[in-house]
Amino acid sequence: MLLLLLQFLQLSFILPMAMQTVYLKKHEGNAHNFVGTLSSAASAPWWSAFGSQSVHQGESCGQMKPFALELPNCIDQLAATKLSARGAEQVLGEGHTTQFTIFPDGCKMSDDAQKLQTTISLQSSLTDPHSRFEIGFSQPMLCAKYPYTDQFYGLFSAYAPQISGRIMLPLNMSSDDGPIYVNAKQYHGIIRRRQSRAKAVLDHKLTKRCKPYMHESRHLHAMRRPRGSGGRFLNTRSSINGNGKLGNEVHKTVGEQLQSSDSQSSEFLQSEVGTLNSSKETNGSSPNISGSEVTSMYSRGGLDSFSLNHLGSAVHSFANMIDGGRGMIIPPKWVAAAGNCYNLKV
Amino acid sequence: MDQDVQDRALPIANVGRIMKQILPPSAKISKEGKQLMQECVTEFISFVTGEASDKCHKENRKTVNGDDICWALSSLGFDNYAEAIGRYLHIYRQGEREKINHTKKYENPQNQTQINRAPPPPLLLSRVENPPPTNQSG
Repeated sequence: MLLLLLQFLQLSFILPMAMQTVYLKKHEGNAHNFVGTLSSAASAPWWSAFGSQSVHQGESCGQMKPFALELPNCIDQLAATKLSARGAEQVLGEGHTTQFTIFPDGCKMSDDAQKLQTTISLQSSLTDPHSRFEIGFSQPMLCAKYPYTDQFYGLFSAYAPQISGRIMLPLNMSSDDGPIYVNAKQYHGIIRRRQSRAKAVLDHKLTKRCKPYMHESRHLHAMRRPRGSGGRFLNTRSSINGNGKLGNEVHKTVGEQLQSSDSQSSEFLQSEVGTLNSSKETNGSSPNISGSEVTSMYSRGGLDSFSLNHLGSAVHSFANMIDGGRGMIIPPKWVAAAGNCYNLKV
Repeated sequence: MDQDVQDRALPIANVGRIMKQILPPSAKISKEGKQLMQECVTEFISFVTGEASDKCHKENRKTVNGDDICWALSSLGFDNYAEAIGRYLHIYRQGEREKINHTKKYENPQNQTQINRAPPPPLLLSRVENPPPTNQSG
């Protein structure tokens, strides 16, 4: 969390740094001070030392902690963080001076003291109007950054080459307060695209459903094909190697389906029992099958049940399957399977 | 969700093929690059088409034609593209007229040959995406 906050502050400093070198030094000093503040707050002896010195310093450190823990999402929190950081600068300056006199042996302390002295000298060199101008200038940049969501990030990057290009025009939208400049000719087009994109996002959220198939025509064709016991297609070569490959594919499909939809797992388990019963009946009709083959058929039936149930999850496809089955010549096994499916449906 | 995005965007294989036309044969394009270009291209087409559609709506017309696209490009500040597309549109229409004339002259069984001579539609797409070089259009 602290690292994220530090990176965020550094990113917020990058925009003003690009403008002028004086502010570059200023913000570097601020960043270092903030790092020092966090390190001092984290360590116990520093905290106890600050607490023992004065109540005011204790309050300032206490105020810093919630800001450090929370990720600032609003502009007010950012402004408050900056103000508190600047307040902490003076306090830290005094504190570090005192600490330096108490502990002259620490190398890190001496480094921090040197940085703080440099920052103090910079602060003394800068005048009040400069600091006020900095405050007034940096806030709009921060404001400009926040209203944009991820979907508008492309547009934000697209603006950059156009700022140095043709006629510039500031945006006067109510939701955007930042001085973002775009080509005057493209202003209305961009506004129109934003509205249509927002509308598309809303429509997408309202009608959000995942398709189990890519092509409608192929789906209909697959639904019309005759299926054997366990839901497997009939008119394909049923060699041992082929069955092995198909089993692997079904296993992968089952894994994907389980990962994708957790709410249907209970339905899968319930329907698996019915499928096993139907496979038992099928095995009972032919006593020549050995024990190992019965075990393999049980496992195959269990795997097939998932793919069958996935197709059966939609009422339309289930009804289409029954209608398609009725329209063709059905073997007795399939009739029994159809009956079992009807029972499962109820 | 990805399927919906893919349905609304251009086919990524065609985007990659068009990107390769401007690169040397030994160059390679990453999948991430193709995906990003796919999004940029889709957004640009929607941007220009929205402008053209807005003009047609104001003039109470229902069909967006080539002239509307040229006008939209120029009104959005893409004057270079508008000039290149204008020249291409002129050449395209000349080809269409010649095709009609040839159809009238020859017999019906030769219509298939004439249809093959028509300029392919993807070329229009490549003209929009590539920067407007004078050599190609000249």
